[in-house]
Amino acid sequence: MTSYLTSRVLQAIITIIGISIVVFALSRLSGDAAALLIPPDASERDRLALREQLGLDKPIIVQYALFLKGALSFDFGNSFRFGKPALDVYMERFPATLQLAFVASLISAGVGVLIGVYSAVKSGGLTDRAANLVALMGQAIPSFAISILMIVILAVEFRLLPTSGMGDWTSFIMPAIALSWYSLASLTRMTRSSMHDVLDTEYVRLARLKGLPERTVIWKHAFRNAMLPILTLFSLQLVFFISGSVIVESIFAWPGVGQLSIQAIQARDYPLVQAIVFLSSVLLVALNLGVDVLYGFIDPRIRLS
Amino acid sequence: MTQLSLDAGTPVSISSRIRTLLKRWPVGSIAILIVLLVLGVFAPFLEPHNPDTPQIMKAHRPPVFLGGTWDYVLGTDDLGRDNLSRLISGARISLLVGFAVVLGAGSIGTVLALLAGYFGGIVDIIISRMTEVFVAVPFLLVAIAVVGAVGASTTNLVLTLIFMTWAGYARVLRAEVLRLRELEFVKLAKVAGCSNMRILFHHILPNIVNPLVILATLQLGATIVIEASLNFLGLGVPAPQATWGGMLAAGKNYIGFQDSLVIIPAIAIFLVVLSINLLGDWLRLRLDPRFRQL
Repeated sequence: MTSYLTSRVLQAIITIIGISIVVFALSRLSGDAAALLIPPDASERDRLALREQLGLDKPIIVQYALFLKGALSFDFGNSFRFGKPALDVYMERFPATLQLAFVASLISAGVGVLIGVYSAVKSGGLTDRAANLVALMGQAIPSFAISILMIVILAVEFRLLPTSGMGDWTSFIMPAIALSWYSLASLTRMTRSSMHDVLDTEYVRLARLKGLPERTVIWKHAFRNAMLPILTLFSLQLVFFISGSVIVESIFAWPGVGQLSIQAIQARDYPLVQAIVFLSSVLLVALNLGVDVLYGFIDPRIRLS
Repeated sequence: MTQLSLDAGTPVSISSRIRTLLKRWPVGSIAILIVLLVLGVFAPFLEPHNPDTPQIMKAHRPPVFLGGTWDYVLGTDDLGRDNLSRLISGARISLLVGFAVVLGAGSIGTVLALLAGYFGGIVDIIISRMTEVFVAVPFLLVAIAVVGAVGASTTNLVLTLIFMTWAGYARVLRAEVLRLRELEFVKLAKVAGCSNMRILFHHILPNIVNPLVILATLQLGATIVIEASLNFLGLGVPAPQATWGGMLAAGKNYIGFQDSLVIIPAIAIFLVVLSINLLGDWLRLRLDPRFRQL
């Protein structure tokens, strides 16, 4: 268990360093950052002074070291657009994103697992067909297309739900469905195939022979063993909640980090872009690490090896 | 990543109904993809009107099935541009970006997987760690940040997507190479005095073609979705070039007034990606059931 954990933590650190390089490169890819900040008719002396102040006159490796030092203490400098630390701007928007992601992950894990399990148990039945449809639709319709179709049907034609913004619980429905859309489909698919494999095994047949109630057989004997691949997939899906929020939030005008990231990129607000990309990536790495640790608890084969 | 469910020996136990359905040729998918290919390749000859020239006087015409004229079968958009022509022009872009990205990322990923899996040691460590980094980042967020930084253009879009997607291939194929490396025929080739290059490209590469083809097919669908997403956000191919994502973004402003502007490109994306995914699923069952979880 210890060596397993050590290797996961080590990988997480390497990943964060890798991400910091990509994030650092972002601001340098776009050319001279100083040119963005001062008017084109500024004097050469002002320009040099600003470059020095931003640390742009130092060798690239020193610049990176300074950036990394700042990033590790979550200091990305002031947002150009908001005029306050990028971290503060990020934290202001984060709760809205977190709430939406939470509701969406409940939908995809809850509904996906439920449909998946029942479609595997009653193979060929109505639920199975529904699961098949969900899986196919989820992978073929991008989240922005389903968002717009929902707006057309639910908000504009039938006027059941608000079109955008964050308000009472009804405003969560469409964005949460859109955000969970893709992951719901693949979780359904994975749960079904994983349950199929498990239901075929000797110990499930034995449990049935013993006369255990079907519900105990399914949830206690079969599902527990089918859970690992489902959990693996769910941890891989966390990335879709972060990536997806960029699109879903900008469609539904959701006041979260996803919408902020588009605004920051369009405004070339690099400190803010860097803060968002770095913090979201670190969050993702931490979540994945958490799932890896969870594995150890669920699967004795990992814990004891 | 632990792979407890992917034991090579376990029989596929997906319901037989789906199996028989997929073992047959996916005729519908192939038909749709052939239409797409023809439209994409011959786009300039098939477009009934110029897809990019605005004709304000002809703006917002409805499609023919909603009372429009056969002159503009799918109607016109807010600038009076023919929707059918823009759809065809967008198909060309989607195909171009999709194939370029899959080809680029697939080649890079395959070569790195071969090197990492075959040579092992420090080469493997470096490549594997890099792969893990790219698998772990919030892909779309980094992609839009990169495109935003380098500027939106078709070339930049393709390069960014290659940069962000090669790791998926490298990760899966490396595991395959690791397995193959231990097999008799590779050891025999070594004893027979084959060079490393020859073993890699003549003995191992042909044996990872199956998973590569499956991966590439599924990635093509995913790439078209991502390309559409970036264009939807206005961070892909610059205007006035028509793209499906761009059409959706523009049509969004006319929901409730001319719904067909968003529904038509949404259906186009849906049909194409669905067809590619069905083809990928079919290939997967046909070529190698072990990869059904890719």
